[in-house]
Amino acid sequence: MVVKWIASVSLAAIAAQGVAVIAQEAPVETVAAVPEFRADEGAEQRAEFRTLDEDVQDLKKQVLDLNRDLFLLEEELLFPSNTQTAVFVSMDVGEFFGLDSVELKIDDKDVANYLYTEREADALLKGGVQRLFIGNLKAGEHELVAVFTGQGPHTRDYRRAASLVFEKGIGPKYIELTISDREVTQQPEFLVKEWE
Amino acid sequence: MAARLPIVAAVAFALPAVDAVAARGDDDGIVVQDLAYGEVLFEFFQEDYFAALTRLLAAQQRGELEHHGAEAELMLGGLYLSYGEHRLAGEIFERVLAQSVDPALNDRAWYFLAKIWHQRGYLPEAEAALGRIIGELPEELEPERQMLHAQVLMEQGRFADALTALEAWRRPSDAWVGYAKYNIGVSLVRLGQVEAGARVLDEVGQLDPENPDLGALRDKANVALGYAWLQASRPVEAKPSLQRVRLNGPFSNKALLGVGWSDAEGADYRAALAPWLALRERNLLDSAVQESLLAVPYAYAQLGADKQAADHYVDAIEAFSSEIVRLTSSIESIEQGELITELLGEREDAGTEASGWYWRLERIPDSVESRYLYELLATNRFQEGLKNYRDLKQVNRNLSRWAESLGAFDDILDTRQRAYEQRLPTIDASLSSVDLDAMAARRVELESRLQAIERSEDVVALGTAKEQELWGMLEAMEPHLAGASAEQQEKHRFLRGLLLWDLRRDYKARLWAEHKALGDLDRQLREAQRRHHQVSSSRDDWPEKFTALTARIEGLRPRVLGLQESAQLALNRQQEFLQDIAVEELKAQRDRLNTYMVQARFALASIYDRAGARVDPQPQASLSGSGE
Repeated sequence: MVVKWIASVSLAAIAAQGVAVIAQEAPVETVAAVPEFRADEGAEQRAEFRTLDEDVQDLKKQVLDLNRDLFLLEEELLFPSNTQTAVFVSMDVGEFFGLDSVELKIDDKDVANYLYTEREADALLKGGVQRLFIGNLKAGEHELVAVFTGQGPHTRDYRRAASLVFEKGIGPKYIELTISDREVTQQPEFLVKEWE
Repeated sequence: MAARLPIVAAVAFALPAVDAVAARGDDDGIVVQDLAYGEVLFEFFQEDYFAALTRLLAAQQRGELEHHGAEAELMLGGLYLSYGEHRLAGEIFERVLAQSVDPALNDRAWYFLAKIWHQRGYLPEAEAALGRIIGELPEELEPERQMLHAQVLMEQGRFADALTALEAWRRPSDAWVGYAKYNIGVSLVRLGQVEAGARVLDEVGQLDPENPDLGALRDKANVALGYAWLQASRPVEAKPSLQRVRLNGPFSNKALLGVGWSDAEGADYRAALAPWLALRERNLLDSAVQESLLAVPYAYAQLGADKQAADHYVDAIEAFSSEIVRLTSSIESIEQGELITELLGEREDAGTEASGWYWRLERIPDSVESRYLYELLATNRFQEGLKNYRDLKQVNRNLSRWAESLGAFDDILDTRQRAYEQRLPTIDASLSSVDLDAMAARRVELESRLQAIERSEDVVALGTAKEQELWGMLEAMEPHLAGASAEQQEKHRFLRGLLLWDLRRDYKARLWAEHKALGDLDRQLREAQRRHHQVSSSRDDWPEKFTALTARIEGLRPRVLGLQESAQLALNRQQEFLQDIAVEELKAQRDRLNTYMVQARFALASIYDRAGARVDPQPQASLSGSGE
């Protein structure tokens, strides 16, 4: 009978979707973002998805390892350890300073001029360390000058410089520029630290 | 978004040492002790998991994570998870968490892994991961965990287990009660316990009508309940719940269809027509609306209104035919590969967007194909497949860039080799012009002279040139003093005594200064030796280094090319998979319409047969004008 037949088609569809839609409407955002496998999907299709997914994972792992090896090779080629010099930027708290940009000079030459996106500044605030510059310097004495611009206390435009005279030896040289808060003066503080 | 960062943040940062990062407002926030770890964090906080992983793997290889070894390993697990490498993540969690003394960390890590495994359809793995959770998760995650557990069981067809799990969940918070009960109700119906299931679904279907957030859940429960009764051939019970469904909600079409069937089952075709006629005005893409095209003439025919029935059957056949043509054309365009490009649009080439687990298609483009595939596109298997496709696209772009860079690496290496060759003669000349051995011998000689002076307290030896000249003159006069006057002798004695006094007075300071000068000389000599050695070993090492670097580039080239080929193949397979499931879905829709069409034609033919068989045709009954 047609009625029965059609009704059973509808029922099958409803029954199949019943479970499927549960989590899509759950009141928590994390779950709402996740669609569910429908209970009616075939085991064959699931197996095919799984085979493909496993192959993709293998491939991505190989690509990651390749990227690691290429990253290391690239650095060794471009910045041999005896001349390698890198300058890093980090932030400690950052209550009194919102970072907009950093200009970096080494031996009076501009080597980096970096404008920060909100995402990058945020990543620094959370504890990330940015490699602002990597280059080659001969052994001997050098001077670094970094100029920071941003929003100082009371959202006023703020521009401050920090400098360092450093000795480049035969190994790689790492210098960290840290923006930190000085509670006593309610002012930002710009520190330069040499890493061995 | 609240759910954006949880995996790595919750997993990696649950470690006590890194925990503070999440709450950076604290005065004693994390101290990055290895710059490389800070770099990884910088990429991670920007949600660039690929870059973070590459940096982390390189740092591990170079041993740059001396102070953050444990966090880094867990971070690696979290990053793998975020990048869709869930098997590797599982292996790391297995290894690292076994040694962890923090059960909360263990539980969270396994929960997130279970969540991904469920999403990707690895149901037994998801169940096993959930089984490794020892205690209770934090308040915001615990209900999700319970629901996930039930879902994983239900999707494996284990409704009885799902029911047991949900019933054992003693303290579901208010917001989750409805969802848990809905799942229980569906499980019971599926187990054939319609009465029990219906009671639970009925409760959900009548949940707080004042709360609009629960509207969709109520509707869904009412539809499920109504159809459960219809399936059990109890149309009278079906109707009230179906009538509770909101008329403008997403479940209204199915509810209208069901209300019609409950009336039709009770042979009240006139009543059935009302919801069905309302339904046939709605969007034909909906399967309930399609069915109404068949249901309306069926009701007319049952009421004896054959002409109206025939007209509606003809309309239905026409509508089904056009829809079948459109579906066929959509199937063709999908088979030509247009769907994926359309879905990803310009974003297909957007390299800056985050990859991996968090990404999903947020806006489905309004095309003919996507309208038919709306439900399919929202399913996990399609979304996860699309994610893999997109990751493979990124992998392809990454590999193309490296393929180009390898050429540049060759050039850099050649340039360095040429510079070396050009500088070699100068280097050799300057190396050979410096006789470090002779310098060292001279230094030894100086030291022994100083020792001799010290031993004999030779104060004159440390005098100034003038003093030494004067001393020499006085010494030269000595043999001739016998013939000199007493006054001259006295003068000589006085001057000698005066000079000796000065020399003795300054001797200690001069001796100290000489020792210091010798020390300085030592240092300078050592520095000269060190630099000489450095230049000399750089000169000697370079050919070997050059060979090694050349070999590394040559070794990497086939890896890049091989992976490019594999990535392209995987991309094609992934595309085919997505196209296949889309085409399968459209074909199922087309098959359903074909079946409807056959039904409509068959019914139409029956009406014509009936009409033709009438010897003395009577005026046709008409619902609208018959006054029945």
